[in-house]
Amino acid sequence: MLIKLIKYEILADYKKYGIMGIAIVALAILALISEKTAPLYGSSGYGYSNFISAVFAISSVFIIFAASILLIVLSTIRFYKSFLKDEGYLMHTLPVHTWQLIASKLITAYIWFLFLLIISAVYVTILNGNITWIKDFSEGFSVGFYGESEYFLNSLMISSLISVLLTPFSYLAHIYFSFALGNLFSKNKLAMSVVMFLAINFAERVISSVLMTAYLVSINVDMTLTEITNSNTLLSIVLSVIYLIAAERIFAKKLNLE
Amino acid sequence: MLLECNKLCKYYGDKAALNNIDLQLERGKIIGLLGPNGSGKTTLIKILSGILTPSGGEVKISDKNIGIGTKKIVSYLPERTYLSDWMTVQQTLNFFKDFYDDFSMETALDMLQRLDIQTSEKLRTMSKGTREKVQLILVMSRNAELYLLDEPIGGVDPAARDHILKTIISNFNENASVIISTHLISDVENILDDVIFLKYGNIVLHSTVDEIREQNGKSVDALFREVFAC
Repeated sequence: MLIKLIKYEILADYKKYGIMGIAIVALAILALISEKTAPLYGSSGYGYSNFISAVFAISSVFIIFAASILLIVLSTIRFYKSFLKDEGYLMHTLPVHTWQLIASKLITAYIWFLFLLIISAVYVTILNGNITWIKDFSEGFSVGFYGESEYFLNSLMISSLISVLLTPFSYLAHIYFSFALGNLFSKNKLAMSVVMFLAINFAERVISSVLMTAYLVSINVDMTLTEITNSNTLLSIVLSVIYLIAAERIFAKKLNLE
Repeated sequence: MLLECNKLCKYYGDKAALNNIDLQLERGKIIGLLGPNGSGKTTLIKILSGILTPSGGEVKISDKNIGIGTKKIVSYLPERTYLSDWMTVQQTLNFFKDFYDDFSMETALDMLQRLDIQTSEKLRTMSKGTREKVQLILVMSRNAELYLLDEPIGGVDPAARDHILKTIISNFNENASVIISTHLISDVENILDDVIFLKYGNIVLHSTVDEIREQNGKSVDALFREVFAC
């Protein structure tokens, strides 16, 4: 049943993400064409080319963040519409477990996240004209942490990568839990979901800061950047799992569709 | 017994939408769930379909508590459009076939053909009435044990109502029952076996249509107007 749910989740949104992917790749190709054809317009063409190059160089840095934000927004809208609005009347009367409904949305969001990561990589590769940007990226790390050991750099890169990959997971778990808490109110469920989202976010940051400070001060003052990243990631995973379990229990036991 | 509710209640804040309802329904009946706005009809149907959690009491359908087991045997038509508008009619058929073991593709295709609805058509391009017909066809194409129809004829023209009612009668078996919630009593009266009158979340009458006619000398519609006169 989970596979079937994922299939229909993908069918519901593949056009949106497909168009997004095509638009990003087309943009990169357009930038490349502009850059290559600039010399044909003489000296003014070079100025134009430099401007275009600068704009797209900046955009390549931000595209992964933009794609992640877009993914969170689209996934949230999809969850709200298909879980708590009219389509929820069908989804919640299907003979499937609540955890399967939630898991299908989370897994599908990750499929689109990976798709957008690949598209972002294609975008940067087209703009660079080659794949040496991967090497440049790792060299950037070496410059940023000059003097550190190779082991430190590798472990920090892996920790950072895991942290980036887990970002949608923690955000979506947080959002699903907020919607579940909002569902417990008899009125203004959407507004209460937003309030819950902000309240959880605040509480999470306070707890995280307190734990981290306590750990750094009293236990291990020599904690490395990698350990800090790993601790944050671990805390994020634990909290996300708790949010998902709580959301599943609330939707399974206290569902009240308007 | 197909359906049993014991002391079933539902509160929205302090307000009781259902107030300690006791109800037992047998198989093989078409039951009209009748009452004015806010009487608790939709609340009761939503609880039976599993999208609303009762505040108290007990519900059993075919001796099962509300859950996956009952969702397999209950076919629910809400009063709103619940199908995704990106789907074509064929995709909605495939969706039902994928999730409900009791869904009959042949029955659905036959009904769609009779109503001249193309399977290639997108729901987005359809009128509200046509979308409601598609939903009803999907729901009635299941070989369920309990059909819950919330205002099934409210959004369609009078000409289509007869066809829909015929569809309901011809698509349920003697092992199943149909609960129809509606304001259009005169339209459905002829197909009903039993009626339940709900008022302020309480059952004020549960009787067969024949008993109402014999004992009161009135139609269900006339009795409804009398009971719920403002």
